[in-house]
Amino acid sequence: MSYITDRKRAQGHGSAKTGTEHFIAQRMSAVALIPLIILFICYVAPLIGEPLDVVKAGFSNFWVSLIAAATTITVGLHLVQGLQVVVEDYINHKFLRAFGLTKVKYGVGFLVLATLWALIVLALG
Amino acid sequence: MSAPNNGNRPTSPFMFGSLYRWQISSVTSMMHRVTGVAMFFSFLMLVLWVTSAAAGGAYFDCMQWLLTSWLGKLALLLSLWGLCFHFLNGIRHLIWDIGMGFDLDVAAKTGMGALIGSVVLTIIILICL
Repeated sequence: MSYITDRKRAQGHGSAKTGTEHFIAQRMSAVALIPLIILFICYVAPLIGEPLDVVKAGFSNFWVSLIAAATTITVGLHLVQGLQVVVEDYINHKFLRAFGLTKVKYGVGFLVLATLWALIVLALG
Repeated sequence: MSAPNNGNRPTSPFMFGSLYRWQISSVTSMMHRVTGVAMFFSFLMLVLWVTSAAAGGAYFDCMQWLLTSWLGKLALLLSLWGLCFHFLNGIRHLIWDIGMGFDLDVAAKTGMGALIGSVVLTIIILICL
């Protein structure tokens, strides 16, 4: 319970004091993902479920691993921003909300890092 | 002055049930979110797959067994369909963002287009891959 008045709570936080860069960045990653997802479906997705030697041969191709790396980074950016909005909208529990808004990006960032490292190992192997 | 409401507001989707009439725009909007969150799990699945290919050994065998099992195939199929929907509906959102396609009949048509298109696109990709 806060004793602050409605007006005081709203004042200075009106229309788009913050959030514009989030909006723009999410649209930028969305536009970038249009060609990347098409390339990913055509050249990377067919490797899923294949035996290890086929997967390794696939990722040893420069273009395949480049598409995979670019898609991973862009999906990671888009995912962090999308999940942030979902946390903002649906999670009201104080601790979980703070955790979601501050730590989800590190979790997704780690997944992106692990993927890029794996792609380097596969490219060199 | 209105009655004070110090942040104690209802959370979406509190309207569903008796208060709300379903329509194509709300269904596609909700599906966009659901498929977006679901893509996190698809992403996680593919991260585990790529890292297992780099690490090799039992880790890859385990992922390979999972992804080629019926459960893995179902997860991949749903991921593909979710991706197709999010892709098409995302383009719809981008068109809205440049200020086009807001007329109700147009929005309803593009919404159905995204829904039906996602199924068609999934089938086309499955046939081609």
